[in-house]
Amino acid sequence: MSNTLNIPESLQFYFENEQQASAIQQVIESKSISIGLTWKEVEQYNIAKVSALTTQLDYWLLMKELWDVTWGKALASSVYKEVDSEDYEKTYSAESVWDDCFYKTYTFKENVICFKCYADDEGVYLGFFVESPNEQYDISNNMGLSDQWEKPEDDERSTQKGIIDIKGKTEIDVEPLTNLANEVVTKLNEQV
Amino acid sequence: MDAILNDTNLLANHAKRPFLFSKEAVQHSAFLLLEEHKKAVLRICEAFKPKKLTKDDLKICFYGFFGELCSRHGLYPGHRLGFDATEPQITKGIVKFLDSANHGDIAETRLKGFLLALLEGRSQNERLISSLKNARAFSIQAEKLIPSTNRRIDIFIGWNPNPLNSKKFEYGLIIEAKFGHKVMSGSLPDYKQHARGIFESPDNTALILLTLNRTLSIRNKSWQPVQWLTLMSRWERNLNDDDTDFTQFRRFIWKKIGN
Repeated sequence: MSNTLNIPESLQFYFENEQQASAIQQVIESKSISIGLTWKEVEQYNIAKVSALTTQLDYWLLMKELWDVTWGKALASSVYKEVDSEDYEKTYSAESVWDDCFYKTYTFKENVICFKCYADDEGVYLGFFVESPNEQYDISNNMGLSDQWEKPEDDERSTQKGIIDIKGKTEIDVEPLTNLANEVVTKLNEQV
Repeated sequence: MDAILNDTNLLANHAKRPFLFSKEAVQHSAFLLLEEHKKAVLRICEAFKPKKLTKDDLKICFYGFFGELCSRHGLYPGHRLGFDATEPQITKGIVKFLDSANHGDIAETRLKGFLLALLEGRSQNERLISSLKNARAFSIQAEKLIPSTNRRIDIFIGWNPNPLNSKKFEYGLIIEAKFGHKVMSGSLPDYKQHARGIFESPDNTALILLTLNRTLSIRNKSWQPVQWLTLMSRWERNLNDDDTDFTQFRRFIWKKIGN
């Protein structure tokens, strides 16, 4: 599995500037077509709507690929058990991943471990947390990690900004994130 | 292959002149047929594959609807502004940037673009739209007071073909602009009544109900519903304006649309 991910042109367009990103977001958020448009404008809007949804799907596919080559690789030989897909409810949908993040959840003993990834115009990120019984997050909050992992915030750990830029890129090498995922899984294996 | 050969020869023997096809000939035609099938299957699969969007595809459709999405466009991630403008601030801001007393000739260009964006797409507005070509004497006001009712019109715009040839305006419109769900329907008949007094003819007048999502009103049929997204996408397309203050102001409108 290669560590180089191709960025689809839809996402290149999205990350190119804030106005283009906002236009896509605007169209995604519009629940119904604006009234008073001419036929030509309706045609343009409809094409824009399908294009915006395709961009959202491209993001889902990219995040899944990113997850597979980072957390997926690191967890391949782990003993953690992935939760059933029905437990995700709607959070694995393209809409949810677009608004929040791509994640998979595993269990081990009485701990729930969530591994996630996401991207924005400032970079590509990994994140995780370990939830122990009674909503305790000490395992992940107290885990000693390299400097490229941020200190815990809201009981979650995230990689720092700028490790991998996505803006202006046609492809990204995510090997640094693969290494950071391995670092966490190795530490987890020692602790949980 | 033997079965195909037998079937082919059986079919051929129904012809008036009997043919006997060699194994090689059948093999060759079956191969060709297979290739055609393969191509057909590929074509069908291709048609069902999600279309890969190119940056040019996206540029054409998004720039076509929103106008050129560059730094002078008003679309901008709303959360970065940090706070919302209120409805009165928006209407006053629109009037400020459209008033040539504040911004000179550029304001008149903006104003015409704004009016076109509001009026386009409805045949009843054709006379108003064509009047804009020669219009010069524009009057624009936010929160215009109707003394008899103590109500205020959100935006009033009137114009004449020639300056000051009448106390009344030959052309114009009244805009009730809302971002919330609640429109004070009671005020609309008062504004309509007021329009009769200040405009020469109702035929040259438009009453615009500008909202986020309201459609035609049965109770107030003379009011034309226009949605903010329709107005702003058209207005952005009509603008060619480098004034950064004006761009910044429009961001507050887009933020409210996004909310």
